[in-house]
Amino acid sequence: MTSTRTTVSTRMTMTDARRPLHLAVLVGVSTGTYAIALAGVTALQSASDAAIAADRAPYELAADRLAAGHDRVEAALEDAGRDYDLLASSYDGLAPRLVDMETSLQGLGDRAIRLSDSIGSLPSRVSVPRMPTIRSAPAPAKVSKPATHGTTGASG
Amino acid sequence: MASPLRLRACGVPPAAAARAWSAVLDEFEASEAAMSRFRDTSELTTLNRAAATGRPVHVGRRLERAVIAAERARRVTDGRFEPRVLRDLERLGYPGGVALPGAAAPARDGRSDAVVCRAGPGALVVEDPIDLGGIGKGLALRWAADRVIGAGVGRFLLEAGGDLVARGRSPEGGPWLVGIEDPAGDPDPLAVIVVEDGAVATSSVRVHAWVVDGRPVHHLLDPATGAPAEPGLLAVTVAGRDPAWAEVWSKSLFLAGRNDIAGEARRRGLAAWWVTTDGSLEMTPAARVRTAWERDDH
Repeated sequence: MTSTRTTVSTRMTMTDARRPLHLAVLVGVSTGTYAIALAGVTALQSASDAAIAADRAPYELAADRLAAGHDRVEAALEDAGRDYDLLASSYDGLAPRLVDMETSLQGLGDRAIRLSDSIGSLPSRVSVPRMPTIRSAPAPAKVSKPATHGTTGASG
Repeated sequence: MASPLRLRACGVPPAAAARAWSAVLDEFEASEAAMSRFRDTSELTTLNRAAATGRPVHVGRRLERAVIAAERARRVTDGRFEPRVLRDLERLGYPGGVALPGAAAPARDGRSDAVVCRAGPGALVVEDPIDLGGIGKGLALRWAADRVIGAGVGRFLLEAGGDLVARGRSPEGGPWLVGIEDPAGDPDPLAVIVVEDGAVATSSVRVHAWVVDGRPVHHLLDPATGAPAEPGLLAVTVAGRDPAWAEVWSKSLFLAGRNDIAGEARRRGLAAWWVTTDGSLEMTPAARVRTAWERDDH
């Protein structure tokens, strides 16, 4: 019995003495493995993120351009609206003048009618004084050929 | 151009007149070397030989200016003035020109608008051979007149084969008086006109007319048909500021024909005289005021 105990005790003692080293190795290996795995996962994640970002870049650019286009359209619409308001106010100012012009035209029409009536009352024939009769025009003086300095004609 | 030259200068010493005459001869020789189609060695002959090959030809300033002026004249006259009638002239047997390779007349329908293309500074390409006869003489007169003035002569009459330039007053102190030749051959002019600081040019069929296959032809061709202009006119004279443009308008009005010449000349505001085939002399209002004398019998 004693001997058995001793043996057991001895084995237990040897086991207890080696346990810390194994644990340390185990912990170290586990930690390293975890770190490597973490680094790998992180690298994969980073690459995946970069790929996703690269894939999204054209769409983001297009979205930016679309937004800029919308801004321009909005600004143009604002300008058009402002122009419309200006035109509307101009027309408001023009409308009374159109009325005045219509009144003037009406007056002009009335005067034209009165003038037409006056023309109708004019005599159809008017006698004019007799014109003196010209018997004959004076004959132009005969011009003799002047001396020339050169001649224009066919080239020889 | 082969035109007889005559310079009448007044109001200057003989030495100045001699210098001016020398300048005229020099200018016409240089213009012939550039623009004559009768010279085998002229720049124009070299350009025409390269026609349709697409090969650019380097030319001097005179020929470049002349081709550009001809191109502009074609545009301004709505195509009545056309320098690309050389093949038609050859086909009709116009004598004296340098023989060119290829004899077929160009197709009129597919012809491009441009008479000439520029292939760089001073380098030209032509599609069809060109004739600068009339406008070339007018330009040579213009440049020669400038050189006469440059030689210190301010009063002169310079004649080149029926075209002329007058500057200043005549020796008698009045304007220069120029006779319009009778194309029927009478030595007396049909009319005498006044030229004050201007130019006069005449297009006539009196000299360059010949017979082909029994039918009379002349050198004033209608670009639309390639044939001589319709009968009805014998000569057209135009007065203006510049001899080259007077030459362009005289030819363009001749091609307008007897029925249209009066309307065309008045529409353009030209001082123009024309002689019809029945021998009558007609003129525009602008020409009437420049006419000092008319012969009675026409």
